[in-house]
Amino acid sequence: MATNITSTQLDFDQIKASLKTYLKAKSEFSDYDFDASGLNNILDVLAYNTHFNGLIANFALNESFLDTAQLRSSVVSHAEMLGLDVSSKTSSQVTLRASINLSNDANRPTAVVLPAGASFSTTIDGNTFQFFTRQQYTAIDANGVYTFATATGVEEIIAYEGVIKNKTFFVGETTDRQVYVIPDKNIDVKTATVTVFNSVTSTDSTVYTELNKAVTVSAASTLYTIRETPNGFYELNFGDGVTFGKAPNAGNKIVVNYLSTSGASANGGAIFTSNTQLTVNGASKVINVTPLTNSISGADLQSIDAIKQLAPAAFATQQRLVTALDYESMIKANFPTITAVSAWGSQDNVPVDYGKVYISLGFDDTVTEDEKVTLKAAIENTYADNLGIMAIGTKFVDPVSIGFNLETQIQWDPNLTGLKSGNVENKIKNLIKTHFATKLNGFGKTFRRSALLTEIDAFDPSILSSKMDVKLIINLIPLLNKQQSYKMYFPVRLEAPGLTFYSIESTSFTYGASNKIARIRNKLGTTVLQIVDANSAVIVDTIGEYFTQSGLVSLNAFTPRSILDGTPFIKFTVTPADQSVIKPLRNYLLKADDKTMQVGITVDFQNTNVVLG
Amino acid sequence: MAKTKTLKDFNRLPINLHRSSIQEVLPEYFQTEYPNIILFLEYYYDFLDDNSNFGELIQDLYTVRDAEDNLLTQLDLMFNEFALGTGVKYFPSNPREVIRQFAKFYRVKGSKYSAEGFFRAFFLTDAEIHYPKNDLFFLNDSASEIGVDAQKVIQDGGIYQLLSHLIRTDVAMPNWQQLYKKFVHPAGFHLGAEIVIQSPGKLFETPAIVTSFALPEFILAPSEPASISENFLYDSIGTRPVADTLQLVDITSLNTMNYNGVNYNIRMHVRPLKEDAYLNLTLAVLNTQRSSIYDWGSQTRQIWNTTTDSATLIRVDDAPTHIGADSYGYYGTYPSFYVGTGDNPDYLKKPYPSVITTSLAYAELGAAHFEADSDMTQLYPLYDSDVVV
Repeated sequence: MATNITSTQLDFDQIKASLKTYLKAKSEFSDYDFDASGLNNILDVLAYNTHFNGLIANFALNESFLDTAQLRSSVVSHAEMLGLDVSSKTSSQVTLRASINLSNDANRPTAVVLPAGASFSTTIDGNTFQFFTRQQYTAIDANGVYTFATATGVEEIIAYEGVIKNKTFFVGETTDRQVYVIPDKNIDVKTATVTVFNSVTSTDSTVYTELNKAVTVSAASTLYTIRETPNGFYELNFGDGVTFGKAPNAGNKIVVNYLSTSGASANGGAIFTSNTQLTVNGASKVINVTPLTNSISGADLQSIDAIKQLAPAAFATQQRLVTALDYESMIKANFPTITAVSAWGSQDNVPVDYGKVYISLGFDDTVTEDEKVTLKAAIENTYADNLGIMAIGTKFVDPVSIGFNLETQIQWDPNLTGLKSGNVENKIKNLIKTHFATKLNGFGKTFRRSALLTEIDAFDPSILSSKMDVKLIINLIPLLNKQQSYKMYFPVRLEAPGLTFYSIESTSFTYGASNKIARIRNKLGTTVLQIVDANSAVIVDTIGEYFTQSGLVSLNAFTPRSILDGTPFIKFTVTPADQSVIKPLRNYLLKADDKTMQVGITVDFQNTNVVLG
Repeated sequence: MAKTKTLKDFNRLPINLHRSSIQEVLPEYFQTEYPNIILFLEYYYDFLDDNSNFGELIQDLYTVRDAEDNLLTQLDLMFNEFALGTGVKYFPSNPREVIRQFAKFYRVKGSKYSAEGFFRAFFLTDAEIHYPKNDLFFLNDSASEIGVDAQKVIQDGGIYQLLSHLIRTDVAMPNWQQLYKKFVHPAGFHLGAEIVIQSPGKLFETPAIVTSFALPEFILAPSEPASISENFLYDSIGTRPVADTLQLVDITSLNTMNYNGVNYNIRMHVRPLKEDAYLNLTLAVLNTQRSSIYDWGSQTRQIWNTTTDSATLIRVDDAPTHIGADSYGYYGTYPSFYVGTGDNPDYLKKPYPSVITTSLAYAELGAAHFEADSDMTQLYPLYDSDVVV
């Protein structure tokens, strides 16, 4: 908090008592009876006054800083000063292929136009959403089938969810600064078009440009900004002829056309129908629609927490992409359906590379593979190519999941709980899964064994103590029946080889001409990897090697024939050098491996004395 | 009552004319009839301004966003907004100045200016930004020589390539690497570092550290040289005039020096004598004038001017074999260690001493300049000719 007022300082009774003590300490009032009715009433009034002043001071100071502000209006205002464009609701959008069939018509036209504002609908969870085109598309005759295309010939149309609305303002005397409030909390400001007509009845108009898209700014520029107001509506601002462009003149008419949207709830629509019919040669024609993607990219109003997080990063980014952090900030601020971002310079990649920025993304579960491709292209084409350092490329890499094979052992006293041991085991497994899902979900998270064990110990009084062995898993999907080399990078240092235990082991596969059941493990006391059969007889003495310092596990000329457990992958389990902390970099995600998770219970009756010997 | 001026406003805030108005607000006869009411209310306002109360906070509203005048706790909140979670503790010397510069700092992010500003702001030190691409060996390039003294290196896909830059500073890389990447470093470029370690002891007076350093003393001529050809400089052993030195700057012909039981070759780089402060002084004498390494270090470092400094000398040399100390970019007037660096602080425990003896000479002890390779597991010598252990 910005102030150091504690809640007790704002307690009325305490304020009054303090005031009384303070005044009694003054010689002039030392013999006054402050509990007498008249003086007591005055003290009440002053204490209330103090109380309110304290609250106001507290609020005023707290609202002065982004970190401590509570009101959305304050947070938005601070964020704007830091250069963050606070997102309004964003319309979901869908890419469609739309056509009409006139093959049975005589006198077919050369081309058919689909005007802006064509409507399509979809139903999601029982709710119907309308989508509209925002530009005109044209279709040409192809044996009677007219497929609508962009000006560049791409046979795709994009429709945005929402309700098309117009808000009209009439410009009054311009001696005062004019602010035009659009009374709609659901506006998608990116869909707004601002047109200024010369008069109420005139058809002569000028389409104003959003300030962010301005190439040059002069006193005569026709520019506007839209920003959120303290009550959640949006205000339209123009320049004053001095700062960033000219303002509409008295008598002008301003029309703001925009989409009022449902935001994220319109994402995921898969089946679309056309609500618009085109009239061709005097007859109505149905538009045939095929969605090329599900509806995506709809987003709700940016939350206060998100604004607080993004605004400082926006200030640091300064509309340029230089550091890896700039890339992360840019993606978080502009792509709300991307839930996790990790970016790093290629100099920090393994293997090292130069001249690129690596980006790994986590997506909302509703985002399909096609949509991921679309979003990545948008990041690269719209932002990285334009705002990044020239010659520095962008490379997307998929997240790599590091599985955790956790063997937990607890000391458990049944007398201290009503739970059965099976229940305890399941509940602890769920606790571990929840720990990973809530605290280790996303890039850059650190696993700390002691933190998890502390949660386990605190779970139930019957759990007296606990310990945990931690191993890490990478699933290798090999090419079957084909000789291939593989490299797996664990994001930690690996345990040095011992003489009595194996530091790395795989699940089973078949190998060789006789299809022997085999697995890989390190040769005791060495980092050499061997293929051994079910009886631990060595089939291949050196199939690879692992490197304790770099975490690399390398297989050379490896040719498995099949995988036995029915999965497409061979699971490699390694023991990290330090089991207490796993702190991955780059694109590693930490996941608890349900299949290998074990919870062992040792019953420990505390009130039973055991005699040794 | 309310303060009229802060202790540190430097006459830069509007004068605060807030004062008690109780006497004026109340009817005039209160002053004679009910003086205690007036006193009572004035005490009440004093109570509000008391240390245990919040009156001061109300006064703070005037300056809460004034970086020059607000509390450090409030300044910390501004750092959270402007400086990606850093705080006053990162900039103990002058956080108020730093926060004012942050916007400018961000605007030049990735530039040489921002890198230098970063080290000034965070570590109060200077950093030299070097572009290893300038040291690359190119075929058919007259500047790319072949031989033991060649200063050009073959592109290595690490520090020596186009997409690379090298920071030379006296702060260990682990202390600044993450912050640097967060605030300055253009992602995709190799980041390398060389470090200058300043020994906490007096090198020349501590035989336990450098056993044989008492021997080479510089006896400087008392007069200014008329020209470079005059014999006013001596080599590190103090026995050969500078003319010879210039012609014989050849690593194989120089004397060895013992450091902790290991013999290193010495290489001399000389420059015109400019600094009167060192005339006629031996190193031993200079040492007596400098109580500690920090004292030495407080001497102004000079930017090595390749036109007027050693480069001139080398160009007049009849048989130049290397470009000498100017490749290091700057010149010191204090003893220091140059060591190989990297993420691994263990390397810092193995100083390879080189000594900038005076402004006259740069005596270098063996393998001085190193760069850790990309996985920080191995050191590469930056200047092959220096490695003579």
